Amino acid sequence: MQLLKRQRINPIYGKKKIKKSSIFVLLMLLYPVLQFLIMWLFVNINSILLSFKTMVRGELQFVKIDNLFANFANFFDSLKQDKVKEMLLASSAYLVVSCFVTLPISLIFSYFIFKKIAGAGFFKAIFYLPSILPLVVLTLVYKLTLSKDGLLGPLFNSLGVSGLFVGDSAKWMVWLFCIWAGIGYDVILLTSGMSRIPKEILESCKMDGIPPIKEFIKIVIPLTWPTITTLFIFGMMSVFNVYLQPFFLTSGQYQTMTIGLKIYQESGGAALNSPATLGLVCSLIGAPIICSVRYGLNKMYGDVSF
Amino acid sequence: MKKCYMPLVAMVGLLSLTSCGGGGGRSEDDGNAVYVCVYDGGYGSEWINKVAEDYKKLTGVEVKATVDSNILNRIESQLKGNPEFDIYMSHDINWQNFATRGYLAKLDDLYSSKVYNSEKTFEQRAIPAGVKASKFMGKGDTEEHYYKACYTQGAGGLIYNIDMFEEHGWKVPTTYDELVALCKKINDDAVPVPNSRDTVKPFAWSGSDREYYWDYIVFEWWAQLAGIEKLETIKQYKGPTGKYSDGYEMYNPTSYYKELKQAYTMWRDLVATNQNNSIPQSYDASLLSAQSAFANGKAAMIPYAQWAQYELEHAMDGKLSFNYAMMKAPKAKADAKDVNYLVGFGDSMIIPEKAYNKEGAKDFLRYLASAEACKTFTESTGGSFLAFDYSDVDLSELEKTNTYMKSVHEKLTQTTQFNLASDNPITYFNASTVTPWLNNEIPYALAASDNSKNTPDALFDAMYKDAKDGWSNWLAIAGLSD
Repeated sequence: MQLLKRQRINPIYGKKKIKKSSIFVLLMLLYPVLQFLIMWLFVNINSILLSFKTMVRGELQFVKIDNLFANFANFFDSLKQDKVKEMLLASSAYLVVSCFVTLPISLIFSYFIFKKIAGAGFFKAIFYLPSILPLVVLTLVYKLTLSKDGLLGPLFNSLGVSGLFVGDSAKWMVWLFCIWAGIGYDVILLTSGMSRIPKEILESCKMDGIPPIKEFIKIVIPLTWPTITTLFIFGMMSVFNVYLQPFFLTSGQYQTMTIGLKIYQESGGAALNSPATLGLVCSLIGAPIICSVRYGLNKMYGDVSF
Repeated sequence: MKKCYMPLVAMVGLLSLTSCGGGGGRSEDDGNAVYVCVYDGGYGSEWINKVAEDYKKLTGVEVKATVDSNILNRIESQLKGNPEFDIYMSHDINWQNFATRGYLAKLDDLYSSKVYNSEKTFEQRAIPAGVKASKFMGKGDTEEHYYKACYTQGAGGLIYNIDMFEEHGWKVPTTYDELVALCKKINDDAVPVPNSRDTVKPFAWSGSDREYYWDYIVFEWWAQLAGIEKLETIKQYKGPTGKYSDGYEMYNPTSYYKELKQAYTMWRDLVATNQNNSIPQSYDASLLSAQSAFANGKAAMIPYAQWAQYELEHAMDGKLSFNYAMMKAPKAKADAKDVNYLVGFGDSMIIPEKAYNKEGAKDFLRYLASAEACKTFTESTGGSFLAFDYSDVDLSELEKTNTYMKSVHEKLTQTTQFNLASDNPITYFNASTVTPWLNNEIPYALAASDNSKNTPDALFDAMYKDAKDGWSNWLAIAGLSD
């Protein structure tokens, strides 16, 4: 609009100039618009439509109007299965793992790095490393290191610990991996958030003799609250998103099946109505909860601008 | 003005080039070349290259083979769009699913045509169970058509160290009781492992990577106890009334699944309860660890399948220093018949409906079914067998020096074959949910790691309950109703 106004007012903008600019703007907009239409709008509409389809001789066809919510009824019917209950419980555990374990640990580590404690650079590299390696490599390294024949295998064997990825301990190993691999990502965002805190505020704290713990709670946390909120929301979303970690570490066995992994596995088949329905139900339940939590978290501290 | 359109033109040009990129880089120079994709598993690439070479000598047609371990991730999108290859060969191809959606070429004319250097048709050369398992009513069909060819036959079970058995006077067990006694004797003999303080254990196995190798022997015990006919009934996944609605009864541990429970109990008593029969912590061992334990003489036996020789020799970087063979499953009961579970029976060879060179692909399969190609496959893979008739394939020279190949051949020819491939839609529309082990949760490693876990009663009662609870949902997913 600004451009058009300028063009109307300024006589030096000729007809040719207007077209050149418009084409440039159009070309720049083309990619994001197409990206939005194809990768978001179309995919989501298709997923919603899939949840109203059913298998008829191998073809997905729309359900009859008198049985419109058949897929949803099937989903709620499946909730009585122990395996489905286990899956929902295992998925919910990632809320605790991401929001109440990984995030607080990351906050503390980020603060240490921010305060430039001895070896801060080394720890920074150690925390960052998992974030830049592909997940498949990370899981492989993790599993090989801790398994019977791995680097730490003999140590665990001497302590009488074995079969960490089999049975009841398997889910703990997946959670531990998520914490280990997740800290790096959180630390990257939190340290960059903390680095934006004006030095004057911190110097003022120092001059007032405020102890580090008080500085952390009263100054650093409120001033990095938008980043913390974002990471908390990401953590909540991990209830639906985590799938590769249990896939690579336990193949979803030993009570490690998650909603994300179930959707991924079922998407490999022809009956796409089932994973689409699961995804839609999760979105319908999860979206309002996540939005409410975000609203609540944003209310806790005022807007931070510096 | 023209400059402004340059990026747009460049983008369109780039997109056009990208869209030309299908067909696996097939160029005009390729002429009538056949593009084949083979799953990179336990058979390697040597066999397909040799067969392709022989086929070219015979016909002048080039076969361009790609060996790929990730093909299963891409196969569906390739069949749906622009297939890169004319033939796909792999395990776990959900071919009934693809045929239902019209992605696969009909192979009726291939089955009725004569194979190379033989008077027999492709149908006559294929093993009978393979012929039966390759027919299906695909998209728009009013009758069954051939949509795939079985790739391998497969045999699995216990591989044993012949030299070690002979040296210590251990007899190859023919019954389960003899196997139990043999394990006790191996432990009692406490044969020292060279350069180690360990003694030889009966079994090396991998709980971390290949716990399902125990299936091969457990399923054979199941077939011996239940009879193959009962297994055929179970595979239909229809209830006692013959209806889909109570198909979950197939998991009833007091009736249909009774013998599987019994077979599992036998395994549990032998391996999980009696930890002394395995290399310590086998339930957590990697495949390489189990392979090297067997290859280095730390264990007398290892559960494996027909690709054992290829994998063991490649893992150990050369031939093993001793002779070894696959034993027939020690009989679950004295009066049982010898059976063979067709391990690789789910493997398929398919031609996409949209394949560039469908006729060329069929012709190559006609050659693959020939006695020459079968021999090349078995020789190159070290004891694996294609799903064709080997009665006119002379392996005698090879078997003189290869005890393993001979043992697999004997197992395939001297036993009654059975498989667990089902043509019920509930099995191929529910991915891994409905298999002998529900939700594909293989029980062995957990049972061995903690004796209180996966007890026969707990495992089979839970499976029955899960099947009962989930059945109506799975039927709905598969679009089945009575």
